[in-house]
Amino acid sequence: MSTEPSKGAAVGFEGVTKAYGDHVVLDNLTLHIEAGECVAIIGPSGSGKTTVLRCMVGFAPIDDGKIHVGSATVVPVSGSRSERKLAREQLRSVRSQLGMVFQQFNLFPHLTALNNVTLGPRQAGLAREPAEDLAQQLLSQVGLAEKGSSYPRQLSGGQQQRVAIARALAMQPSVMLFDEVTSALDPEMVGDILRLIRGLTETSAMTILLVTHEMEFAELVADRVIFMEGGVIVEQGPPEQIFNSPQEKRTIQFLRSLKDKGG
Amino acid sequence: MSGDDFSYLVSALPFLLRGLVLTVQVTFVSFAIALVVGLPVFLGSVSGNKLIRSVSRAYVTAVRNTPLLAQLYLYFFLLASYGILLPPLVAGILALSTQFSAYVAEAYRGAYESVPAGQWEAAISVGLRRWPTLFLVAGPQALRPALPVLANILIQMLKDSSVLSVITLTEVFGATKELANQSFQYTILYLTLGLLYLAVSYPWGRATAWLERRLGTFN
Repeated sequence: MSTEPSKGAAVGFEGVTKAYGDHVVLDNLTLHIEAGECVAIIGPSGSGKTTVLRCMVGFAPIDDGKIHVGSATVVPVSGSRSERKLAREQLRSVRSQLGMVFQQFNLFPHLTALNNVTLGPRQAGLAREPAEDLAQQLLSQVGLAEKGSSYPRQLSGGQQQRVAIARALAMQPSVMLFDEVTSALDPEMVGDILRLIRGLTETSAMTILLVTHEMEFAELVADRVIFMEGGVIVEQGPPEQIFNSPQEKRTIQFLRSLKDKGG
Repeated sequence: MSGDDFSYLVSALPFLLRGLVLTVQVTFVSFAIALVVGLPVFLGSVSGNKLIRSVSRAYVTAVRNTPLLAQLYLYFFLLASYGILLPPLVAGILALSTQFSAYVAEAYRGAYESVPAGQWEAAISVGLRRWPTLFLVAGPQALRPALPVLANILIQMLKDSSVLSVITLTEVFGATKELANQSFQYTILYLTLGLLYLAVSYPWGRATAWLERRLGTFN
């Protein structure tokens, strides 16, 4: 494992459908994201925006279509035994390119901050010392150089989320997925995390997909904003277009409803 | 208690204590076996393979839903009728550890299922596969919730080992029964028996509570 900054990978959704029983969450979704692009997905809850990320990682197995990440492809796990095996291998190959940060942090509570970060690299075969050096360097990068020996319960929500970002970065992903990463944070911590992510968008070559409720943030960091509702992309474009002159009625309604709430 | 009762008890105590030692030994050995056997049974019950899963769950169902006494007779008398003669001690330990391996497996499963799905997702997101996740992420977190359940199982085993008296083992219950049949001192003997069980299991309960505090909570 090298410590060079990772290159971004292109991401492509081709006719991806995901349903829970009769409830269609993603409806024949097609979406192309260039390597290194930063895309923000916005939309009301239940619009399927988080499912976009969860399908990429395989947490929500897709029913139909394909998701390309770099040279690997997520396909539905079905068909013959060997087809299913192949699909699972592809999924692992996709996962190895992805880093993910969760709404609820999901740090490993029994491990120190440092070991939260080293676990992945160590299991991937990196020796203890270089893994710890890497982790220490990443913890410094997220502003937690002094917190390596703290356990998650001893850290604030914002600090936990920063550890989680360091943990994801340690795998040198080519695509980073941020799943509503500020939603569970106290308001005063939100800014810190957003600044950190903004720094990543500016300094790294990673492809970044973020699902967010922070419209100003999306406007600030994203190369492209996607508005989703009912499992389909209603409208997409550069942030200034989506936020200043949205074309679709539903986009306008959604943005207005946020303003009415004072958001 | 009269002076006669007391002097009788003093004379009976060595025999009772020898029985108690056997009870504790049988309990610990059976518990250790149940802890070990319970592990593959649990792993089977959460396996991705349908066949392994159903075999494992069938084992738990069969063992849990039949009386310990029946299992004991199975090992001791039924096998004997096919020419397999197990010494009472072996049959007793086998029966106890078989019965409780199912409970242990269920204790493991309960603790395993208490680990939030987000932990598995986080482990997957940093490239961990199933087994490393189980041993490095889920297992350590399941330890704490498993502990009180396992402690209960141990105490239950201590008490249930009294069943072994029916196959001639003079563990503490058998020893008491034997003395009572000779001396007719039922009251004093069975009261003492109760106190002896309590004297053993109470410290175990305290020790578990201490261990639970030591392990603390993660959140």
